[in-house]
Amino acid sequence: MNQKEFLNTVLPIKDKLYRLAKRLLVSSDEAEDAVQEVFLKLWKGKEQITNYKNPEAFAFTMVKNYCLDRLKSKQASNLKIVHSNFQNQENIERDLEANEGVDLVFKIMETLPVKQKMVLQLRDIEQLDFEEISELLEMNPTAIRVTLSRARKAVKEQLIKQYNYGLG
Amino acid sequence: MDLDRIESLLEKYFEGITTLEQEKELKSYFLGDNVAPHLTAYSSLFTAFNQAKKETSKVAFNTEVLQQKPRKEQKKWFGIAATIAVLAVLAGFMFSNKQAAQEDKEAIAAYKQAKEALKTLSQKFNQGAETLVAINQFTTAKNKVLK
Repeated sequence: MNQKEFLNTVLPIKDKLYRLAKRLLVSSDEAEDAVQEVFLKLWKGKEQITNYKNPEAFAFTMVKNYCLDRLKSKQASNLKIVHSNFQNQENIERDLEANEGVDLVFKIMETLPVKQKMVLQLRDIEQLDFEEISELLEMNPTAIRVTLSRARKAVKEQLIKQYNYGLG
Repeated sequence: MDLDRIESLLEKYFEGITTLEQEKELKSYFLGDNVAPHLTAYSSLFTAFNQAKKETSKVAFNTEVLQQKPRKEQKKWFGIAATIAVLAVLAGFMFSNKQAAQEDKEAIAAYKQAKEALKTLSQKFNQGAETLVAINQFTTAKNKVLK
């Protein structure tokens, strides 16, 4: 596999990997680091990548594991995750209230367990079907459905609570 | 859009049993302008998902990055360079030590010679001094007289 072929394989999924990393690590700098690190590792092991029937799933697993490792070492060293503000680029026309609601959704998502974060990310943000998700996360579709439902309900519950407190 | 349909889709959505198509339907409803007042909270939800999908990585990953030598290899060269430097310093030190040894030998020989010379000098000196012991006689004699 030469450089061009390699880049053609990994570049199309770069943003997807980044978004997953960011969902887990919150900080965008750390998410960039994760993607960079995983790509370099993939490049070093490029002879093997063709052996995997699904290079995308392979890359996803690597990003996932990298992020979980990072989270673990952070917990161990008691460091707080640096929060970076989400940039709202294109809904300037939406009113302030809606923006607050959006920020709130992201904050709520940060509080979810890792598995729920990943499933929610892949389904509601990346809009993948259950089969793809089960391949990427090595979970069976039923487990994914349950996790997804829990994640959605958890977000909903907190969101409605906040809205009732006066946001809406 | 039919509000009943949206509400039943929402219910299914939270059970995790909607299809991707149905989720798209929900999304387009909640991103639109005609959201029913009691459902506005869900607009935030779908707007957030929509925004999150638009985020992109700023990492420039191209052929240049791939051509960079991995850090480990650089470290190896640093190690080799450091070893050579240390060896060079050691070798220089040993060499100068050898020279010093030569100088030391010469110095010791010179010292011995000087010592020898001083010894003979002091012997001759003492010989001269021995004859002066008689002078003490004067003192004893003087002391006897002047008590």
